[in-house]
Amino acid sequence: MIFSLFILSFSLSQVTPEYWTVDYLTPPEGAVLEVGGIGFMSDGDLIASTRRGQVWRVDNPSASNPADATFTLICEGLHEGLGLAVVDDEIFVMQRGEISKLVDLDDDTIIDEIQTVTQDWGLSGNYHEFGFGLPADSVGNLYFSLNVGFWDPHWWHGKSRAPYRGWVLKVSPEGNVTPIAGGFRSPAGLGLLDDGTLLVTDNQGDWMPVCPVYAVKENGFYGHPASLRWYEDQPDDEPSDTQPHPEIKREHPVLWLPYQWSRSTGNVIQDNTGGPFDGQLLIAELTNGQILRAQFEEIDGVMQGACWIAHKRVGSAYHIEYGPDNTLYAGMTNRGWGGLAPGSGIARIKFNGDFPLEIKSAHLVEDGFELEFTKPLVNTPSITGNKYDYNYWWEYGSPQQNNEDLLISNVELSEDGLSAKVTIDNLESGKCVMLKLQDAKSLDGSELLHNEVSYTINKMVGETIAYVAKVATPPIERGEEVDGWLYLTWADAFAMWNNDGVELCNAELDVKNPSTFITSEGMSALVATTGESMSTKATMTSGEIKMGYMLAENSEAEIRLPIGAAITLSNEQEGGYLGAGIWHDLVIKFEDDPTMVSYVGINSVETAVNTKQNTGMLRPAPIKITCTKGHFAFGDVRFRAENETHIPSDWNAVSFNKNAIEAQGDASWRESGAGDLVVSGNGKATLSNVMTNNNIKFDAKVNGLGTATITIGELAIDLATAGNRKTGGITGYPITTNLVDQNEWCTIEIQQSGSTVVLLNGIKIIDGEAPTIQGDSIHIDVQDIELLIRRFFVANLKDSSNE
Amino acid sequence: MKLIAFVTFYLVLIAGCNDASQPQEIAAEKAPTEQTGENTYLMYCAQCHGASGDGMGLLKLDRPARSFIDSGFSFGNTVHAISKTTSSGIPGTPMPPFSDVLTKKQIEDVATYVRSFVKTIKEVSASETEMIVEERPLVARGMIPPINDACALHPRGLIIGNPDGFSYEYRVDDVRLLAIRQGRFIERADWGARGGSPLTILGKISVLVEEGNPNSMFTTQDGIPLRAQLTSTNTLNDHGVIRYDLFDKDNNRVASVEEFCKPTTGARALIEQIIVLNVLTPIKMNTLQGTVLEGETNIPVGTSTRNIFHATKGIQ
Repeated sequence: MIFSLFILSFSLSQVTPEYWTVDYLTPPEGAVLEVGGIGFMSDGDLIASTRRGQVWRVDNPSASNPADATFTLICEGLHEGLGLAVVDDEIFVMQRGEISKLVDLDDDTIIDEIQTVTQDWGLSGNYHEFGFGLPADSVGNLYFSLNVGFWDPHWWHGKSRAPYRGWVLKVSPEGNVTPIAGGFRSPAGLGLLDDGTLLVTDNQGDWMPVCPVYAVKENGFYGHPASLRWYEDQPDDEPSDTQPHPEIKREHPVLWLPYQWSRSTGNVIQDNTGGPFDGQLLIAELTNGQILRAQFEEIDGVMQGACWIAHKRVGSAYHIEYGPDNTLYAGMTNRGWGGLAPGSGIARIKFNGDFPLEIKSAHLVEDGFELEFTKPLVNTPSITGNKYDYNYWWEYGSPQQNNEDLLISNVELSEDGLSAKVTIDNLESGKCVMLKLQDAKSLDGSELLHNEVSYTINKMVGETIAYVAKVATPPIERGEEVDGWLYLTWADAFAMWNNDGVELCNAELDVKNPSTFITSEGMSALVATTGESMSTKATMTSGEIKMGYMLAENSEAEIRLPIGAAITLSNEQEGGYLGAGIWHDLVIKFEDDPTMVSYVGINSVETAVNTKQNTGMLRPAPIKITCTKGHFAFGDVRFRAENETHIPSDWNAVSFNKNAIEAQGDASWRESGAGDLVVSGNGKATLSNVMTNNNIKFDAKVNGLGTATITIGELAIDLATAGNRKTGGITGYPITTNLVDQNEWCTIEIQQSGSTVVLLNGIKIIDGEAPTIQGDSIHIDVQDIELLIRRFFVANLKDSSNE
Repeated sequence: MKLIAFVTFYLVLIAGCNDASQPQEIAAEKAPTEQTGENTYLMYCAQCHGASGDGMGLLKLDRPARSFIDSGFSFGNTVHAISKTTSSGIPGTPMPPFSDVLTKKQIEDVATYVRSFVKTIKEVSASETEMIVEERPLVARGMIPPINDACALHPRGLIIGNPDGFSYEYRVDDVRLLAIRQGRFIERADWGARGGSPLTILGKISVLVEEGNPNSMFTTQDGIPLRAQLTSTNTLNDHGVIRYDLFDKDNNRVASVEEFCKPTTGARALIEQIIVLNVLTPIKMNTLQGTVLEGETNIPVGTSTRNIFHATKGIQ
């Protein structure tokens, strides 16, 4: 449906039209090509495999009118197709569980037989165990990589629970599989250079501060510990995923891609088109929907290099390939991952015959960089820059750490204007560097098309090598502290809000009319147009908001904070803002006394925003999100109150009499090492002789997807990550929003004086009439989960009994 | 023993219901000159389903025929779906196959007529993610959800869907047929979100092989189990084919196996599977519970064919 909009060839104003033209092939009506791999037959036909397990053959893909390229579905029913190779006109596809050769037996192009090349790796059944590929070398070996599964304690924590998850491997034409190296997390893109160098890109997450590009060494370890167990010299047990493993040598990436340039990285190809970038690399990027360019070099035998933005605003490019006519094709997909529109299909990037002024290369020297340009400069540019490093830890990604300005003491343009020497006094090993050039012009008056270059310094000339991603003190041990987040739009997105017109659907930028979105049925975004808003039913004070958002062009939104201040989101923002149609992470920290917005970060970069103060506003107040102009999409709104662990002095801690705990059904209970009461299985545990009262407060944690209820007297309290009654609900007042993630401690406080008030992580979520709590036993029912309870307090009995 | 009794019962039943072995003669004698869906229905269907489609035919069956008036369609109410059921019959029930009795056109006409019994019928429309088997067989690879509470999820699975409406559900790691189903094919539940969820299998189980967790059919002659490894699936003809190799414990290939998931004909209590073996070292074939293996259990070197008959459980 969406693709019917792309029948006409057009170029995007943002995409450097004088140098390259971007257009989109037009699949048949109703077909959605979530492209995972692209290859070419000797007759020039394009073959594309998709995440829907289809394989399409595109005749005449380079037709001047993209509508003249015709699509034929030649194979369907595969288990994903995140990689494809055409070797001597034979088609190979990377399925989740198999590398297959597709055979047409009767020469009608339709595939009749799917032959198994190999299935020689493990699958546990976890949804995240994608398999990626599939570059081929000159003798027909195929290279592929395997995602780790996502398990716990948070949904993004990678575990390798089946052989070779988190590895890159190769299979010979005879079907023999050789594991090459491990330590990967979500190695979604591969690349094979002409000299045989195997490249693997990974994706930001635990142990991956940002997205790296690795040049893979046999048996090397690339940082994510989950897959260590498959090394021959390592224990078979699941390794610690909270502590680093310093005894094992961790290989350096060639590049750490700046987060603002790549948040989900696809494959890498070599440019052999003969232009100024011949021999360099192109990297697919789907979140920001662009293509990066990279150049490697060796410093004292250590690979490192530079990267640039090459083509902005292409769409969610996952797999790129050059066609026989040197047109660059980008297979696009972003389902479940998020990315710039278009989110599926095939883009073409055609060269128009004239190269732009660009920084062609960057070479590290002892005291700075030598930059080369594609055209002579007529003046010496002014250059600024900074350097930074990252944390290597189990947390999801890392912000830039130790960010410092570069001390640039001299810039000297060569006589021919084709290169410049940048002298820098404070370069060091183990840093990423960003240089920004201004006032660089060529003879024809054109300016640099992209004026920033990022360089990863693993090693300075003559100095020792150092990690850019440095072992950092891990964040607090999991489960040791109340995490405190309320996920205000999980599961039931509206239940915690007063909604004025906002819709739950899928949204992506309309590429033809970028001032609007194309929406479709789905649940990936909350979408608002001018004047529409959502405000929380609950009120808050000091704390922190996290959310994702995307603006259309000519659009603005306002986030009104509980402290009265409001911040404006617009397309004019700098800092970490990347542009319309791109999802951004937003973090706002604010304090009530004195009233101040202490931090606004967009994509982890502190960003100046327009802040309005409404001093007359009654406080505490809700969070209100309003589209003030145009079209605004947002989602995953979270709030965390400033840490509040205070227990009133007149509350009493309850210690459970272990002799009076009785488990029934398949439930069991134990005391954890930290002294928490742990009830698990399917059944009931009864705690007798427990002092309870009208006011109680306790910490709870649910491990896994399931449900639990704690019944005291006539009141049942829900603790659940599944089902229709989520954590925080009580008898008569179900909560349908999954406010607390599994494996995170929350604090529940119930006050019964007059009405029944429930506070979850310090926020009042229920205020109404409910059955009373009073009783001397507690019944805990668990279904499919482990429930942890600790720090159980009741209000002073004497005070209560006086009521 | 049980199986044999089952077969006998059905042969008697079919003989009494409608002599399927002599259909052409009957058609030639009695067919009116105008071949409408109604005429075909009255001749072949009304004995059981009733002239008005209410399921109250003259023949009294221990399992009453469907009432079409009450929308009693086992496998979908489209003309396409009713045609498939009419053509293939429903194994395990008195509903016989008509593919050898009626022409394709007659079946389509009768399906259209049957559909007219319910005036306000709501067409079951396929979702964007449903895979529908049309003229060619389809193979769907994907995760197979547990068939029942005692069975496991199979991260590697495949289902072969044949144009006759039957589908064959395999786990792939050791290439074992788990179930034979009839009706709609599959829903690609893994096309949502990031993917990675099991397929939704739409067909109703007609055969459940050893409760969905079958033993290996093949051992060495000494009874040592052989490892199976998938080599290909083929959909060139009107029925899907699955091929795999068998290896001994020393990883020597001892045989190649082809399983033909052929359209079923003949006795309606059974579904027939044809196994073609190309054997390098003599092996032994074991009879799975609920099946009858036709031919010797010892398989000599060379090419051999064996037929397996699966008992159907009927449609619940």
